[in-house]
Amino acid sequence: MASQPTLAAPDPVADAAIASALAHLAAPGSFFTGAERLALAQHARYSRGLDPTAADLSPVVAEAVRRVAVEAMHSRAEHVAAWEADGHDVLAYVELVAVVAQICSIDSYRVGLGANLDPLPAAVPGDPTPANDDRAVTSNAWVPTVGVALAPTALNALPEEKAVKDAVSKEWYLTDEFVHKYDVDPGRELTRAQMELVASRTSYLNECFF
Amino acid sequence: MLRENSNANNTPVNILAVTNAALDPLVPLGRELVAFVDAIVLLDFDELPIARQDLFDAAGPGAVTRAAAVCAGFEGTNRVVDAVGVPVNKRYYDIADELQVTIPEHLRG
Repeated sequence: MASQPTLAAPDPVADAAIASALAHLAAPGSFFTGAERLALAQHARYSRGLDPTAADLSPVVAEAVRRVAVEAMHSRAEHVAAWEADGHDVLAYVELVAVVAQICSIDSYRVGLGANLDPLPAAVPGDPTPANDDRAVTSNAWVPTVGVALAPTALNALPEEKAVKDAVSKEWYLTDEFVHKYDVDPGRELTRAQMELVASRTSYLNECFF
Repeated sequence: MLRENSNANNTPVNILAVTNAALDPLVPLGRELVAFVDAIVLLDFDELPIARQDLFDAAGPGAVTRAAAVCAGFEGTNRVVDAVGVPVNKRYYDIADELQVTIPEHLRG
């Protein structure tokens, strides 16, 4: 676990969710082994300038990691098509996005707190085991989703990846159930308006319209 | 959601401050929060200790933790939706116009 900084309050519930997320990140996924998933995370850190060591990845995978980590706003359907043309399953791209987004968010949290980054855990041995939702189809996004692609459903073709992301997100912000219930006091250290300002400014800087 | 929250709770907000940090968001701690978020997202390690200290001085350690947490959550979600091509909901088109930001054609549903 990362060190506790002096200007931030401890949040053991969030820390536990992060520890679970990191353990999941190190375990075999649907398409990547634990070691490969850790390499994706390592390369994301490298791409953001948070770690000096690049991971040993194929050029196509390395570029996909870099793009998601550093300039996701420049992603295009053509990138996903090129991924598939290189022989990768489109759901492997979804897994890559999930892993990279997860480690980027955890790292940004630690950076914000003034803490050290969490050490990446040791890889859990084993082969990938597909755990995708067979109902997922490509509709209004570039990748398959179950139902219409929205922020909450973007990863739901791989339910385990979505579940882990949601587990951390709900401790940090709000559960999906309460996101649009503006009359509900979130009971956080910031008011709803303050949290929405933080969210809006973050999205603006990322050139994201969510 | 900032605008929707403002409307629902009848609390003032200057939504233009989202895209112009020189403006006052009219939200308590607004300037401190914007500066803190900017430093995190831009990985500005010169400004970050200053922004964190300012937020801490104004609101205490809980505010620092929650602001970092909310920012971090959107750092992840922003990457997911943009990387897989989730189109922008049409109900946000008007607010994009108000903020004078252009929704890219590839994200118009």
